Amino acid sequence: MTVALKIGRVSASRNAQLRAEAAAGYAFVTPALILIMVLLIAPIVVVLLLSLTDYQLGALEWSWVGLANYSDMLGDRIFLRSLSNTFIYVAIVVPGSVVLGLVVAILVQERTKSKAIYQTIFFLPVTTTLIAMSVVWHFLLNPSLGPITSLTRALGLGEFDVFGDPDLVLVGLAVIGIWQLVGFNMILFLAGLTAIPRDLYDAADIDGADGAWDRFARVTWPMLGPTTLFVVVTTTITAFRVFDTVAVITRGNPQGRSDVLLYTLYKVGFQDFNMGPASAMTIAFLVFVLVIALAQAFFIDRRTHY
Amino acid sequence: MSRATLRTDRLIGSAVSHAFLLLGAAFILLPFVWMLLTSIRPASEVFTAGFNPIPSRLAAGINYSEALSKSPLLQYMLNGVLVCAGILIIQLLVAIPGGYALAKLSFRAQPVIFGLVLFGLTVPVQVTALPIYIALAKLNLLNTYFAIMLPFFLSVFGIFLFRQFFKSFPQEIIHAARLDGFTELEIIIRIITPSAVPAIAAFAVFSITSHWNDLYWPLIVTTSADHATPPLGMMIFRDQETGSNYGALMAGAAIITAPLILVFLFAQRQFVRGITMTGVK
Amino acid sequence: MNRRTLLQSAAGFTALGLAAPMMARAQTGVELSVTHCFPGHDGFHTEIAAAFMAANPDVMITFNTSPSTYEEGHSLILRQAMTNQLPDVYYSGFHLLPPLSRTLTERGQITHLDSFIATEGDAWKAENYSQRILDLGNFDGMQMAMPFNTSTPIFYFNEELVKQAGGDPANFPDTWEGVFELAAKIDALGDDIDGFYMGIHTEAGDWFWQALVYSNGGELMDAAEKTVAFGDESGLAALTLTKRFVDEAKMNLRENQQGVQQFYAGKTGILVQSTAGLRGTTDSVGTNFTLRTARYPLADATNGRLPTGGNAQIILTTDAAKLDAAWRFSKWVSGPEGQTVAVKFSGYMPTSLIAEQDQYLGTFYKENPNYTTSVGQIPVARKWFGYPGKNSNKIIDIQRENINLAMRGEMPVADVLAKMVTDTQGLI
Repeated sequence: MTVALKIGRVSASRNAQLRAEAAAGYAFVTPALILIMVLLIAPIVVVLLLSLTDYQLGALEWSWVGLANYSDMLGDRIFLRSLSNTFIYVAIVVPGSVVLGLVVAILVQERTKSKAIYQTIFFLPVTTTLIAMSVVWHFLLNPSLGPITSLTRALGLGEFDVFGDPDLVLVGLAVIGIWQLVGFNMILFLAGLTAIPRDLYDAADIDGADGAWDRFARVTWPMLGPTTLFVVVTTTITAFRVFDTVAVITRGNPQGRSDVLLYTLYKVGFQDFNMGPASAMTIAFLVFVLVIALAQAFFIDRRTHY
Repeated sequence: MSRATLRTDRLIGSAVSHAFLLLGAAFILLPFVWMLLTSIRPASEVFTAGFNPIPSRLAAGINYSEALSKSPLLQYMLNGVLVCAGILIIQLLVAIPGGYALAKLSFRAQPVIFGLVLFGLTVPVQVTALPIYIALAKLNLLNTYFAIMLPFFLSVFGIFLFRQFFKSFPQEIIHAARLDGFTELEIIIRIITPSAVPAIAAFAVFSITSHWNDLYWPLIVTTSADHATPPLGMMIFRDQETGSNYGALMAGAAIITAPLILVFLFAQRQFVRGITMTGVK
Repeated sequence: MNRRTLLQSAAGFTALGLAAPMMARAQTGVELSVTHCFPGHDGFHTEIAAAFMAANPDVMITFNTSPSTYEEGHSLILRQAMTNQLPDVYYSGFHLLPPLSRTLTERGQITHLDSFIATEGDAWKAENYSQRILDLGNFDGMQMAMPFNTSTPIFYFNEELVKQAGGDPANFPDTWEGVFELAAKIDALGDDIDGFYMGIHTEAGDWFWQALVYSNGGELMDAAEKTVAFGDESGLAALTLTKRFVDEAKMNLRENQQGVQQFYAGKTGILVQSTAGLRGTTDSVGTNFTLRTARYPLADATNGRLPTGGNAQIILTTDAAKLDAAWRFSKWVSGPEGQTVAVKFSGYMPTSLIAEQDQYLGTFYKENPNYTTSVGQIPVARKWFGYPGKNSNKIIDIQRENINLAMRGEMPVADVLAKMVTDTQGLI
């Protein structure tokens, strides 16, 4: 009897405890929830709704147009060109900065005395104000006056008009993009590399691993799987969001070959005030980013077991 | 494999790796070096220098003072400080309790809210910009510090980070505190938050870096120089200085980039920790 | 929270102090918020405003951030009209003045200047402004704006390079053929030397295109402003010239800032730009070489014209309390005091008749002959055309893309011209 009473009393106070906990939980999460509603969910819903209208900023009347904005967008030469430019940019920046980040991480990992210095140096661009450094890069890459041209001329390669040549402009922007991301990826890879247990390498040596490349292929690369995936996904999303360098240096020129998705969005929404098409483009952008992120989640689940 | 060949192999390998790293470091440092060199050059030499690093005479004083007097660079940086501080404070006030609740407290809506947080991680500010801009315009709040900070008050990344961090906080301590009669509020203020100082430092560094360098949103909502943040201020200064004195322009760029670099050099560990906290999970 | 408010107040006071160069103290009275384009012009705008405030202590002028181009400014003002955030005074590029002032008139967000001018009287008007100048800001029978800066396109050239190539700086060619010949010879001087640069393929705005069409005796639209009119031989000659820049003058299609910097460094012989860049160019060139200027060739000697570049001031406030101050400011900036500063610090031409007198600009012009080149082109200057409708910026963008197609040889010139006509017509 006493035991049952005791259990009863314990479970009563346990219930009170749980209720207090839940109450606190709701209370603590309320500010976050409010902001999530106001700054995240509501705007996305509004954007979705706007994308179905022909609303122009400041217009007194507007109407529903269904999916017209989307079908127009898919046939719009400028949107498609923007999309293609963004994809090309991503296709250059992601492999470039991921591979370089990995190589640098591996090389830096083995250094003892100079490790800290290299880490600092390579990470420096990540902290800089890209606008300011873009202005510097703009000057560095001046095809007749910049030091890079002096170098390429000295090497007999002539000059590269990176920002004037429509075929080279995305490459020029990508170089700046890679410059900024290498250090970030290096840090991530370094963290992944330090997590690899040493004895795996010893085991590989015993198994007859011959030389640095073999050890890399047998141990490093497989063990870095999740890290590599994470780096690829974050770099892809960051590269997709390219805007600053375009706004400061090229403004979409030459011939619209550096017009990227976010810049087109900015022009259509904030310079032309076409909120309908701009919202449709925003949804398209969101879809792309979500797909990339979901791909990561999917692959991480599959690859976690090795 | 003979010992000698092994050693030579290692030496060659080491030399190659050194060379590669030095080349990489040169590529990384090139813009910084060029920016500083140009900022101390006299205007007439800026475009005729070619690859020659040594200026014939120093014009650092002229360039830096022109940069500071022609454009309110200090004002821009002050705005950067205000905006980043405001954003960080609200972010912490929201993310710490939110992250803690998602990590340690059980309530029914928890998985839903956590799901929303995960969703929010993928949504950049450009997606929500349009409606927030329209709303601020209707409320006549454009071109204010509040407008610049508003979209960033919510940091789902911060909520996520603190949630991950608090997940590994020992449950027994909380339990013991409850038994000792602590209310939930006291627990979070007196026990949880102090323990999170390393995570706070790492997140602070992260938040400051990204919001100091933000262009897209401030570009849209700011129309007066006294509210302009550093990147916007740099764009304005660049447009002002298109030819007359490139040395001054580079001096301006150096002044704008300096604060964050200095912060980085002092707080390297926090930076690195902040990044690795996000990734290797 | 308390600490934050304290911090913000402290910051606010410091901000006021730091922003001192941009504001002047005024006791009570009116504040006018002003927007102008091109941050590079901040210098003379601020100086003119400071002098105005000294003479009018009851008015305080504050400047907003300057949009980088006329087109961006146009977008900004339209956006601000929608969100009720307009400044009190704005300087609009001439070509965007018609669409802007028409839109703002519809919405009741602009104050026309006719009543002010009438109050000042005919004598005042005749003494201060030529009819040509006032016409630049006159549309639909109403004086919408007061012209502030005017310009025409001119040639800048490097005297030393021209001499080296065998040219005569005192007799710079006045035909395109002559220019191309000279440019080709300069280009041959060295691998890193270019002969000619005009940023028509990359600079914002359609001013260079209009100059080409007008100087060939053509028109952009018919008198009724319904049909595009540059599809004729004048238009064809204009577009062909752009291709000849690349083919005969050996022009490199550099990005605008880089192309201009190359000229400053002494590596390009001839640069075509607005006279508005004269002060900036002179400063940037410094002692690198001797800078000279020459007139823009008129391919059609009888009917060739040039568009007048620059901007005019419109008064956006409808607040009766501010209008008096705004009109005083208008008179000042377009009067002798304001214009002297504007001209000396840019290269723009004066809008004020009085400013041309000796005690203002007369001696300056005698001592700085480069600045007079543009003034000599005034007799052939006409209005910078503004397309009707709401798509001005889009039209300009698409025209630039088409010009690029022609210059890069991606399509035959005649085809590009036809396409340009259709594209423009479709956006009217």
